[in-house]
Amino acid sequence: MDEVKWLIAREIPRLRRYATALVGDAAAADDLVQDCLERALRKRHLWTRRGSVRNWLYRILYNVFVNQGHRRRRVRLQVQLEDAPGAMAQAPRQDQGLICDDIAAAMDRLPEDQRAAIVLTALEGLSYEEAAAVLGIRIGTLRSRLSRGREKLRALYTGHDSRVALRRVK
Amino acid sequence: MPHAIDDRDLLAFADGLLGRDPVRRELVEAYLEANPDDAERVAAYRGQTEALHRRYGSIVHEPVPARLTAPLERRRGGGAGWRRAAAAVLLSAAAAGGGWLAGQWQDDDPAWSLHAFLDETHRAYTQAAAGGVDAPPPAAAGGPLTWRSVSLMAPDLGPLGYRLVDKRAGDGPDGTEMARLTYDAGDGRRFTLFLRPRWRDSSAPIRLSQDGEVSYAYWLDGPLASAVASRLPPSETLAVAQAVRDAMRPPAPAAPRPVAPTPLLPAADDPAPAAQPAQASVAVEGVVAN
Repeated sequence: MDEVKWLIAREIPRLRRYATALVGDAAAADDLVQDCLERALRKRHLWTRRGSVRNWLYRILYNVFVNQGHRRRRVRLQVQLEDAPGAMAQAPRQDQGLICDDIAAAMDRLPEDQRAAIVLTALEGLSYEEAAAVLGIRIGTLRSRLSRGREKLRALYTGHDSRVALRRVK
Repeated sequence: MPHAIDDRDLLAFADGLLGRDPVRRELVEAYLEANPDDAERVAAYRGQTEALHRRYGSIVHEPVPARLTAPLERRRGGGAGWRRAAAAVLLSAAAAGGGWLAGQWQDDDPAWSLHAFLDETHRAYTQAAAGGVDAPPPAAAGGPLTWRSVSLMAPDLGPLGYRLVDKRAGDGPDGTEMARLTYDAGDGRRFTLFLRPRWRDSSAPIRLSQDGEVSYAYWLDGPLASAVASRLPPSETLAVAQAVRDAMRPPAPAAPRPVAPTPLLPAADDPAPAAQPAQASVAVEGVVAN
């Protein structure tokens, strides 16, 4: 029996957190984790054992996420067109100046690459070097994605927590 | 100033990455005092991070849906399930003796050490003795121990006269995965075995520590850190620890691996290790009196 399975199994809880923060929805997140695990199991002979299995899995999951992005976006757009009032559905979302109390709704409005950069560093606790390796980009690119994503998020999310934290810094 | 504070500094500061650079950190702090707009920006970034943790942090403590562990249970030839596979993983990992992780790994927490494990064990034992309210629920008798994502079988110490009376797998005092097994000999002798999965494949010999009437014997072997805690005399605690360690190791390579019995049984021709006092092969590194 191979030990890689044991190592992979131990990462499932973190993969679920990571996936949920990426896609926003718990059921869709578990679908994503399942696809990631199946892919990881098929490819586990390719894992070099030189890096951490966790970051290897983060990378696989991100690739699955990006490859499925098209499908998911289309589904989401259909839902919005049917459910939203006409004026809202036609205008570009971010120009509406919508302010979210909900961090998940605000994250959902970020481009996928910026969202992933924030999730990996802020939630999963990866260093910038590790996150850049997971996303397959240079560290400078990661920093600029983080900066842009954080700024966009600041415009979208004004949870009262940020004001609390502000007082603490000052 | 060495160089002006730029966006990179602010981002790193907001992400708490300047912790090891106190000089730079103080510069950034001073800069933020003088630049309220940027201070507000940094505070907003931190608020985002806190909101993400509040929103998603608990997911790692949820039970894993079966459909996610199912692909890992599947095996060529079918039949055997993940539980037995986990026991076999434990066996083969211990057997590999340093091969499979080859020191490339870090434990989840870099500050983690055998001494930290002893502290955890001590707290968990004390809490359990005091009837701690946070104890995880007991696992089903005869079933495997299941952590959030992995499971393994409890060692059978029947040959020593000890019977497993209680087993719980859940989170230790620090939120780490930890299993607690209580064995009882029926004559007043009783001990608790703590198991914690880990990354490294290194080994460490059994060490002994004493705290009041409670003695602890703890060691590292393959993917598990283990500790025995009891009110037995230290020499007996040590003997029990040796027996536990032997029971969790694979049988002799020549013997075919038992297939049907899932518990990690010692090889049948193994003499009951408790009958022997501390063996020369066990390095007792010192008795620490607190």
